[in-house]
Amino acid sequence: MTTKGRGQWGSKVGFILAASGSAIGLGNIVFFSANAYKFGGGAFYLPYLVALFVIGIPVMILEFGLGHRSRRAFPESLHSIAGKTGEFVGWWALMNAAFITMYYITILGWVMGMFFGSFGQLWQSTFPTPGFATAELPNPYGYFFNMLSTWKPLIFVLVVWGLNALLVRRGVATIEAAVRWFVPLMWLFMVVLIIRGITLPHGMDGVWLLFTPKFEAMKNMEVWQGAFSQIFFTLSLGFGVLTAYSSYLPKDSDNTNNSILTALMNCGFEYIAGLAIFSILFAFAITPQASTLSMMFFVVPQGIAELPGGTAGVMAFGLMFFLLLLLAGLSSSISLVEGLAASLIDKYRISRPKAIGIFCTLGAMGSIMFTLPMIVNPNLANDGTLGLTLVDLVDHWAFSYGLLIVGLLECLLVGWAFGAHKLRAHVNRTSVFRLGGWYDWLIKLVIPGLLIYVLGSAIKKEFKEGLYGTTFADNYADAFHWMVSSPAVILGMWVIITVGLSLVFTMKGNYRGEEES
Amino acid sequence: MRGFSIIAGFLFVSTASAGIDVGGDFPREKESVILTLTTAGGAPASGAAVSATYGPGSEVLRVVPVGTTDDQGKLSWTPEEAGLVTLSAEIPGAEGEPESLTNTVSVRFAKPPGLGILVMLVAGFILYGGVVRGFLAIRKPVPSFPPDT
Repeated sequence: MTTKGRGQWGSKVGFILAASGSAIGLGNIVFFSANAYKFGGGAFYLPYLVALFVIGIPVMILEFGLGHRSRRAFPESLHSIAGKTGEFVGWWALMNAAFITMYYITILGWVMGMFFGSFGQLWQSTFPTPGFATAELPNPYGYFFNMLSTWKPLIFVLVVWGLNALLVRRGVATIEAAVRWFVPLMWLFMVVLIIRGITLPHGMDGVWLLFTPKFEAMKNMEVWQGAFSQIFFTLSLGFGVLTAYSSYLPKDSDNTNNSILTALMNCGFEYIAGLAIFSILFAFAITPQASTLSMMFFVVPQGIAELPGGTAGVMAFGLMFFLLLLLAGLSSSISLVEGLAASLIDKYRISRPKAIGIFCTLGAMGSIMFTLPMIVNPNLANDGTLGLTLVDLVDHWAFSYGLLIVGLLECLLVGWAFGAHKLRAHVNRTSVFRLGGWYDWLIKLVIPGLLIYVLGSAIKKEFKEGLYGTTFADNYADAFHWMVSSPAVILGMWVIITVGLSLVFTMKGNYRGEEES
Repeated sequence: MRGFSIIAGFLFVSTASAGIDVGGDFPREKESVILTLTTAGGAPASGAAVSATYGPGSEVLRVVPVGTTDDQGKLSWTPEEAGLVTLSAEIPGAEGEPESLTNTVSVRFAKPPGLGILVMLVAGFILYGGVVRGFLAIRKPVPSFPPDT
């Protein structure tokens, strides 16, 4: 397959920075810590490391290998090994990723709002919350929900979409230039937060708490499920972006080493983030919550508000924390935008500005839905505003199920339709660490089996406890009682839109060299 | 199962309640401290049943009864393990309505935990040792092997 005119990473390090930047996102900074606390501290490291080496790295090798082999983005890579069926799976992954991108960028808009709030208003003791049952709430809740109940986040969301368009405008050239700043700054800010955390009175006890194992947690299968899910999400698997990124690699790339390095950098970042988060939370006796948004917007800022050093100290660390989130989020979102843009360019031979323009425009319109400020739950027993409720519902399907479904399908396609040994042969051709036959069995049987188990457990829970979101109905304000059917509607829309658009993209148009039917 | 989770429920998380005081510094595991409970009106909370939840919000939480306060609202407590602990108390009310008090405290380790340090070092070695090795490897030229047979 010709690669004429296709961009290429400027250096191996540039690719690693981009790939690790894609993997390291908002969840790395706060969610791993919360999960480790929830699932037994140091004991969680055992299932986590097992999941990393049994699922995470092998699937990453698969995704890198596909892109490197075909020199094309995800749908065409899967088309090259499994025809239209493979292509459909590739487009479905990207449509699912598009949903995620839309609300991810909305969340980055909220992060930007909190960043500006860190200049002062966020650190007041309370903030007015008109429209909610309580006239004012203690910060950071007050500032956050006040922001969400206005149209202000819309401006931030449009700025973030604009930044994404700017940073991918020349493909790998601009992406690499951006991550060469973003990723080192992320690590630097995290190190500063660690130093601040462990030098707090009794901060080191927080670190000991993170790593001290409570082995009784391991008897609970939910711990293992949590670890398998966590590793999939944290490594950005199932989005199609790693395949897009690796399609820009030169022929002599060691994809096994690339995968191991990217995965370990991602997990290494979570490791040190835990040091910062746990030391700060322990110093102020704040309980972690197993929710990324709660940790980012409430729990950690509560800790920052207690830091010594007066207003200036609190402001400085608050700004640094939210800037860190913004950089981590941007390095991930640009990969999501690139994944879809590259796929459109590959299939329809449109220009890069046109592809970016189409996705960013439609994406921004989707993100606007997630910023809708109407207060549907004034008592805040659930999510509060319409936009946040939609994020919650869409995330449940697109993130918790969609990515695992893509992972399962890509393993089955590579393992059974194409032949895992063929992909392994391609990867081994330019890898110092050569994968053995065990890799084939991981891709064909072990990983699909584990993913089916995790998905099956989740679906069983859905049937047992009712469709996710149905309990929200008890708390909707009268004017929003029509939202009682929203869980089923959101699920239906997610299925119809992702499947429908995937069919359209699969059937419409042909790749270069493909015969017209 | 949540990957990128959203707020599961809104909690007013307070770092300290004026009702349950554990004294000056952070308590240490296996060392007793005197808890002092006061009601909302500022009076000593006598006869209050106190319990300790170790690891609140986690899958390994456990609730242990601590005891009942004396006439001065005081009670001795020996934390069983280090970590986050939520102390809760129910004060019987004069007209039958009980008053609830909570306070989350951080209990320090009696000494640095050997097992925790081991986990930290092993996990760190695996992750960062691999990162260093990986970066050293990318500096080397990649050999081109013949296709696997």
